[in-house]
Amino acid sequence: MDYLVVAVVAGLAAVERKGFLQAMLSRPVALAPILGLALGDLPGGLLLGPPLELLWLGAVNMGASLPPNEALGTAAIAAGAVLAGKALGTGVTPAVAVLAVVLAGTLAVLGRTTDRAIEEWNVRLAARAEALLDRGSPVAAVRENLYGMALPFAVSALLTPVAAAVVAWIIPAVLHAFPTVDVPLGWGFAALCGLAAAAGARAFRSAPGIGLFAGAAVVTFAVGWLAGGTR
Amino acid sequence: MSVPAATLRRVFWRCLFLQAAWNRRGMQNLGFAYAIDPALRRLYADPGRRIEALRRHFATFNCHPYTAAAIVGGAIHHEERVAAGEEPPGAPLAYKQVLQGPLAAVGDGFFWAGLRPFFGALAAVGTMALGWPALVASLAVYNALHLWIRWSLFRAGHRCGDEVVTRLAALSLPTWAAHLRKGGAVLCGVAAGLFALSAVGRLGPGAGFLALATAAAGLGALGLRARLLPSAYAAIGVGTAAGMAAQVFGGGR
Amino acid sequence: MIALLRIDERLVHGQVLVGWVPHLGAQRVVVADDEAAGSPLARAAMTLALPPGVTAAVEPLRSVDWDALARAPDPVLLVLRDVESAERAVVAGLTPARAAVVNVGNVHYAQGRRKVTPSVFLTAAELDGLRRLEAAGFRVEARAVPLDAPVGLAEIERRWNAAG
Repeated sequence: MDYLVVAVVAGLAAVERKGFLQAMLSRPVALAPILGLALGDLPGGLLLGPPLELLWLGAVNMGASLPPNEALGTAAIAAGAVLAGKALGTGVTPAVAVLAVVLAGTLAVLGRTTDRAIEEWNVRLAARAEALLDRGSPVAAVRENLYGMALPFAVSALLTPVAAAVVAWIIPAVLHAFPTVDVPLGWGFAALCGLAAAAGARAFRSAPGIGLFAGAAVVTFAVGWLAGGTR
Repeated sequence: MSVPAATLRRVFWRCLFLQAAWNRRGMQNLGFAYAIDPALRRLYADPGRRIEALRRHFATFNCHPYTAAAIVGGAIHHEERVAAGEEPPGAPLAYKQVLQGPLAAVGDGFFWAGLRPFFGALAAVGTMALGWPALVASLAVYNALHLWIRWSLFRAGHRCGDEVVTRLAALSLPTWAAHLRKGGAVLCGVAAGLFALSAVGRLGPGAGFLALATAAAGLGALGLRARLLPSAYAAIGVGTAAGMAAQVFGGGR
Repeated sequence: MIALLRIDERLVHGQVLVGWVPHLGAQRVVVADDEAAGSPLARAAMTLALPPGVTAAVEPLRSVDWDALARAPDPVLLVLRDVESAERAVVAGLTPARAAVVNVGNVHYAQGRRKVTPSVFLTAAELDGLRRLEAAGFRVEARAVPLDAPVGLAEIERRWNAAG
């Protein structure tokens, strides 16, 4: 049942990302909590959303060039982490989160390849639409456009549950076999978050932004530290 | 001859599907034809003329999915004049070909490299500081903004045709984008600080400084064009190793 | 100096302004294109997306002062519509000493064109044109954005032949 939910949410995210709307619902910051909510662990989704968003802040589709598929990567990571957290009974801890990133992060790169294949395949849809127009069926011709959403949905709905299942199987096995790595992996998650923030700052390609980033980081940390806001 | 308001709303709705069949040859051509078809159906009662009009919109087209709304609106503006015999049939296509690149540049620069990542960073910081209500609020504001801008561009394109360029220029979006990029970088800095504070709370001061140090190292490495995912794996590896060292030598937490 | 000669059917768009302009540190974009120069709409549109501090000029190809561009102290991004325009520019006085790299960014699919990268499709005549440019001393590469790996002429030829 969980995997059916994962498939549907991931499939819809793939459609929202490119084919319909572009309302940020497939961005990591939204998609991870949505998956968390759908699978019964909203806090887990909220833990993963911010670092993944910043990590892939620069993943934008400009013209005909393709970025890594951040939605596919996020869906696999978030679903895998939440399901692993459920299996462990701990929810998504930083250790679970970072292992999920390690195991499923490459799906974003694989997603770029599948996106490219989909764009090639869609050439046929356009050709078919033109053939329908030649035969005098304009309504059927333009409706071909909507069929273009089927393949992204299917690819994402198939790949994500498989990746999530692998992640949800490996993580509990690792953490049971090596219980002492739990804390060091928490440090790994902290490092990943730091890198993600830097990747976010770089994505803005603003020369003055680099200094502003550093200043804001130090000020936030110092103020939070002095105010005792270390949660 | 003009297209009724209800049909315009239908075309706008269909604009949201512009990239549904994005393909390597025609790019958004099928999406454009799909979007404009209801307007053509209104303008050309004769099936032969309608098909002929639809066929010209199968030409290769690619633009930013938001700013393209202005071109769909402007293409209807020109189709109305073609249908009335005031302009040659090539006018809508010429309009699309001239504007697609520049409007793509405006959209990519303002939305994809400015507004959306700004709101992504804002939503991330909001989530960390205030929880899910801040996330929902950020997304709601972003959606209100982009839908309103898309609708306004569509209407401006339909009403003013070529003049939409002057209207857009008056908005000075590139200047706003530059501000948003700086603001977004500040938000990422705040996020780095919050990540570090949270690490201090969970694992002690060492982990907090590790998060800040990784942010600094990442900033440098990515500036030297290090690849993203390998950098992330390196950060995780180094961080985990540091955690192990802290566990062995620190003895404590 | 001319930092890059870009061949792009879409002239000035996101890949150029968000990708190449910051990458090259260019403050000036020169579009050498008769069609765009002849259209007030195109000229107005070209300036729409310019980031603060970057200027753009749209000129007919024959009236471009290649020497002045090459001598300019700041890096200039030169944009041409197609391979044929690049060859006309060479006839008009553009030399490899003035613009070392010819970047083929976007040449859309059309009847008779074969795919060499996801965004570049070439006819046999256009491939010959690129060969002549390379033989004249220009370094020819195909790529859409700076982050893509550049595809050199030998690889372009190989892919073109393989696509046949």
